[in-house]
Amino acid sequence: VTVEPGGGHEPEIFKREIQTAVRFERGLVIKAIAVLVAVAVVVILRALYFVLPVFRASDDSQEGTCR
Amino acid sequence: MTHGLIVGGEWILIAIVLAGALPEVAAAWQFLLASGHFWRNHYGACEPVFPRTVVLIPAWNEGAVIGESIDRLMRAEYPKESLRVIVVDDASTDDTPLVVKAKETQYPGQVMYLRREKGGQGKAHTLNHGLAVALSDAWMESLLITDADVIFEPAALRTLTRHLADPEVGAVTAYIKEGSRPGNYLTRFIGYEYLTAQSAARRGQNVLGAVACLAGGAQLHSRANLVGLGGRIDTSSLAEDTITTFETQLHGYRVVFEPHAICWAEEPDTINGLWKQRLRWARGNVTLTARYRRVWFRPSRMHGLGGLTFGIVWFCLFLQPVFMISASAALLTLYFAGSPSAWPAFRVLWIINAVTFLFITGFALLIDTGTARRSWRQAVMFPGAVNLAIILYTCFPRLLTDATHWFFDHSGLPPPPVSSVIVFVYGWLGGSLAVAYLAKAAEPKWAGRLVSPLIVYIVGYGSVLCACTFASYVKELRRAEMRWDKTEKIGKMRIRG
Repeated sequence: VTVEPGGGHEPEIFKREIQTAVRFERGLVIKAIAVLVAVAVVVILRALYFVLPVFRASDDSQEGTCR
Repeated sequence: MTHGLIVGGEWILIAIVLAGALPEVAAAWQFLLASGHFWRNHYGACEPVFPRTVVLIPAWNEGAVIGESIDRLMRAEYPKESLRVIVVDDASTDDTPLVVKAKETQYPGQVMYLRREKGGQGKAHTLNHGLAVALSDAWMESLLITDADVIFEPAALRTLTRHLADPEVGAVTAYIKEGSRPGNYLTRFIGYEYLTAQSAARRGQNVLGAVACLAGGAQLHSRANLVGLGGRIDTSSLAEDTITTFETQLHGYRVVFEPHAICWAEEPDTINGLWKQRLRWARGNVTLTARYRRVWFRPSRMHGLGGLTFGIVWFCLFLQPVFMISASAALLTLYFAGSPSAWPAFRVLWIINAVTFLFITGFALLIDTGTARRSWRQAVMFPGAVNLAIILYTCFPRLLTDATHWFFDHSGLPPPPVSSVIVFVYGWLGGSLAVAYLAKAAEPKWAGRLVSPLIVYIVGYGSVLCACTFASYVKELRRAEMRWDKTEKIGKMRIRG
């Protein structure tokens, strides 16, 4: 392919854009971890909800069976 | 219930119920992979290259949109002497020829108009007409296939071409966003869907080293790749984009998704328009899945298409309607057989769905905040109101039970029998596909414009897509005629820049 600078798009601009793109991709890891932590918090809260005696009765029920 | 069923059959049924969560788990796995794009991407092999590029635009009655698209391409941040546009008119009956010929005059030597007098054979035939002309001239080093309505952001083309500096790369695809303005509820659903299916899932495919599909409206090929493909696009299916993607990789070239090359496209704003488009795509996927039966789950050094993870993700999503229907059928069988496992299996299934839904939605909205601002409501409502209620009920049974009791106590309405509610929620996963079909069926009726959006919000946009996939199975089994039902574009995009 033709390797030539063109239209004012010099290698410095290219380098900066690649760095920006890689930085954005690194940021995605942080975002993914943040969301995973948030989901884990919801799951833990739900588990605690189970533990509370006031709710236990309904969760131990056999709802959804034909018996 | 027989003793044999209790011992063995019950476990099989429970497994089938839990398999209903596989498509969601597969989708979440792709999202997790997407977060690994920072260490496994193609940026290290990029160079600031500007190959002599031909942009190939197939056009049929695109007078409303094609002039703007050509103007935008001519304003691209790309050397003018290295850019040409070929428009292949597929026997348009509107003012497309006049518009393109005016552009030919406006951009002498850069825009070329070709016309097929016998049109209507499909996009692949139209592309092949232009491809033959482009390949006959040694000037061309790379070829960008796009659609007449697609608007490229100024930096998009040069962001794509930099990947071709690596001779191992045969094709590069961009992130196509939904650009209708002001748009409606459906275009916002599509905007969010494209965020998940492209910006997230294709990043994950980059990490896997196997890309499932080059976007039909933004695929850049090296000349060597096109020559390797025989100089023509496959015309035997409705999924020429996906076939091209697979063939490129099977020939040993790499396919790259470039999430920072952005373009905009006009997508359907009616359920029937969406159905027509997606049925075409889904039928193409059925053909493709059968055609490459010797590729799946057979790892190769040449390509990643035979990888275990890629195969699992492909089949989980391709067979999503089957998983949904069989999960419901298994739950109902357990219920009517009086099995105590029905309820726990149902809850585990939906708790998995809830966790994956939370992760996918949260992460997707953070990946592309622009689309998130516009489509966050559609992201939340993607599974539909009924599925969200089931998720709430399975995760927090007491909340919904109390609310339901309160409602019936205060409304004076008689509560429905518990058994009918249970049958409804157990059967909903599969039954939602039939209800989703109603959104399509109701739309042309006098009140359909009001009822259809309501149905979509109730059953979920995801169920509409699954119903469409299911319809594609039926069409393929019946060997229905493969018609190229083109999506009509009327120029709804208002993109600045």
